[in-house]
Amino acid sequence: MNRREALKNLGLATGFVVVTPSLISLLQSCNSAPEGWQPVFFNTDETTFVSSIVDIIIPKTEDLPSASELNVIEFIDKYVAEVLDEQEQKHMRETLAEILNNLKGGAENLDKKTSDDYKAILDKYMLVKGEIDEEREANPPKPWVDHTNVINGTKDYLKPTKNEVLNNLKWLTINAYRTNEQIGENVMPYDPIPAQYTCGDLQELTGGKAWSLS
Amino acid sequence: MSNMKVDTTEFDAIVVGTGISGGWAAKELCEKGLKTLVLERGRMVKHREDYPTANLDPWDLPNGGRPSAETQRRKFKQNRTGYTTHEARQHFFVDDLKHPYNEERRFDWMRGYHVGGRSLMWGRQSYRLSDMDFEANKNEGIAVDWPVRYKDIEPWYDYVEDYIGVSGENLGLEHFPDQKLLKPMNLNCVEEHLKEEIASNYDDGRVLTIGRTAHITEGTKPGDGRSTCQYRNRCMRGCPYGAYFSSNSSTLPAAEATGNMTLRPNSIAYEVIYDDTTKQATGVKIIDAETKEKIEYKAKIIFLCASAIASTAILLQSKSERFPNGLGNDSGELGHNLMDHHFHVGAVGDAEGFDDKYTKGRRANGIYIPRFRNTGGKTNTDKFLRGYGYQGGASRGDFSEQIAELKYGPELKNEILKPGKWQMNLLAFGEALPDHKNRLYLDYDKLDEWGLPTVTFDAAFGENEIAMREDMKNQAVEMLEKAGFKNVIGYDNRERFAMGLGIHEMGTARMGHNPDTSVLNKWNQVHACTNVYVTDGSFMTSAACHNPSLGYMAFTARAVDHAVNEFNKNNA
Repeated sequence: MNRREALKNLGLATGFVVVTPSLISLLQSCNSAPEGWQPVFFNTDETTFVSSIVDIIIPKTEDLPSASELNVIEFIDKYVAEVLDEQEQKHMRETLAEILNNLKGGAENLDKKTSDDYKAILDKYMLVKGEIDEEREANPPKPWVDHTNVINGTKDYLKPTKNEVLNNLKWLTINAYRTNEQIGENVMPYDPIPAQYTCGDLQELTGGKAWSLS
Repeated sequence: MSNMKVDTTEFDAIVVGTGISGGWAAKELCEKGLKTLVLERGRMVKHREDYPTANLDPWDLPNGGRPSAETQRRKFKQNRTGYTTHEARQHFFVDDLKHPYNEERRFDWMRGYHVGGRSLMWGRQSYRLSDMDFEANKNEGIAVDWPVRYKDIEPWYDYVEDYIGVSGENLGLEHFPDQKLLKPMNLNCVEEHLKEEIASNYDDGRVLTIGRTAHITEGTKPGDGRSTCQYRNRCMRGCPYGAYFSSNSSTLPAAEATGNMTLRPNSIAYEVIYDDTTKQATGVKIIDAETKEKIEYKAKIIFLCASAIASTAILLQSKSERFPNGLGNDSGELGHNLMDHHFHVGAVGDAEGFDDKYTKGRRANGIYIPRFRNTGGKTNTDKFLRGYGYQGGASRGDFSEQIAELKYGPELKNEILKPGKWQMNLLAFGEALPDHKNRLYLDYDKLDEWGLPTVTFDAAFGENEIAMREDMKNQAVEMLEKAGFKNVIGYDNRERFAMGLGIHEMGTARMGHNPDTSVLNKWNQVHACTNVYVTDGSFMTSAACHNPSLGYMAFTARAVDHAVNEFNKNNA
């Protein structure tokens, strides 16, 4: 589709999605972002933020689509809406708001934010192996006491830190990408009925890739 | 009772339950010519057509299969395993809000209420008890002696293995009997490596082999179109190939084919009716799960195969003047001696030097290291009684390790499409001793929606199990380290896991020689009401250390043979 059509389609959902630079750039690449899609959980700012960082986490490369081209945002939004319970959703939203406030600085919205601004947020708050989450250190989980919670089905809710939210979004992005039908059937080797179990050479079996089904 | 409808059909036998044991009881009774009513509390599940997720890929499932918040809420006890509530299989596990139970101490009771029961979702590992197991209680003065020895049950193991199909490798160990096996599944290259290392590092008889699993690996077996395993590893969703044994693919179609079976789903059996003049049971009372109608069915032989907990609960509810504490409960042992296997202990390690190797196929099976503790001579220890075996296996993990230090970008994208490092896991399963204090009982103040009392558990693993776990962890670490695995980490999640998670509930209506100390005799008959047979896990006098279901099949077939011989004598 051309950009004009894409913008027209998007216009149908303007109540929910504000056209931001990042969205425009998506449209310019004429991606397969879901037409007329409306988030179930994410609000406007959250949608802008998440749809921007998924393409930083998994960008378009020569031979493979970016995360947004596979509608990863739709997967993540639905996942948060259906898999997280209300309290977990509330906590996620609170921490996301902290991140978004930080990103906005004094600005009213995210319209003028560039991908460098998003990267700076990830660089600042998303931790990797070996780095210490000071926010979590200051508010550690309660130690395991006994089986009472398990028996009653109650949870010790813990508000996620900024690092935890960003890492969750990273894992969700990766999961959504790998759980996508196009990746699972055409990019990763797909073997629905193996009919045997053998050990062999990695290159010969899959050309060095992981099987899509495990 | 005024609203009780009496069904006047004259059945020869009633089987309560359609799982591993019930399916076998149904098949054997029907094939021997008895008109048999088979009762199942849950819904109908037909082989193949009622496996809705069997061919779904991750992208076909909501949220890639992750349990929804609603599934987690309604199935919060089933969710304790971490795998039963996956959206591809949660429909075979019960709704805990609809089917509540109580825990004085935590007990994880995993259930499937449908035709086929847990034979659809079982682990399929199939091993025999040996005389080491049958004689242990007697030799050690623990609980009561088994009234059965290996020679009594051996032909019935042969019989059921021939029928269901079990694949694996015979080892010729006296304490770990050889079986009627189909060709074994393959070990992968890392498992082969560990097997060779164990063989050269130990001279105490320990050996690594492929798991013996109830999958057809060659040819076919009787039932509804059973064929060989396709290595899809989607067993718990129901197998459209009928490659692993389930009641739905094997025994129930056989029973159906005789024309002697009347299968009634949605039938909650809650009481065995006792007649003190004949000293026999005359039938079973049920509640229709949907209409809530109460119906009484009559038969000459009753087989309780509802699972250890449910059969015990039915007997406890079957109160009469003669049996005020439940049918067959003269000994006071009914509901006691609850056992399970203890696990969540072992070690993991990284295999190096195999990065150019990978596997084809998804093998729903792992390795097995049979018991090598307290099997005589240098294997004996004074730290604990009995022993344990290891399951587990080697596999390449996912990309997590490779991207642990990457936040985003093309490099990360490249890594998530590659297989991870090779890791070997040795997961121990240990025997738990029978203990009178480990029990279930009925709570008549907390009724379910059918007005029936709920089950309360009060049980935990004991000192012998705790002492055993230290060795279970240490030996796993040692075997991996001696074999050159790197980053070997021993684990023991003792504090966080509870009895029941092995999903091997056993012992609550145990067999024994003496009616004063046991519930069942050596033929699985209730001592004082001999036309009631109980052949699910509740009959187990001790637990051995491995997966018990194969034994339930063998004991069920043997008990039916006995019952039908008695039936024919009486009718001659």
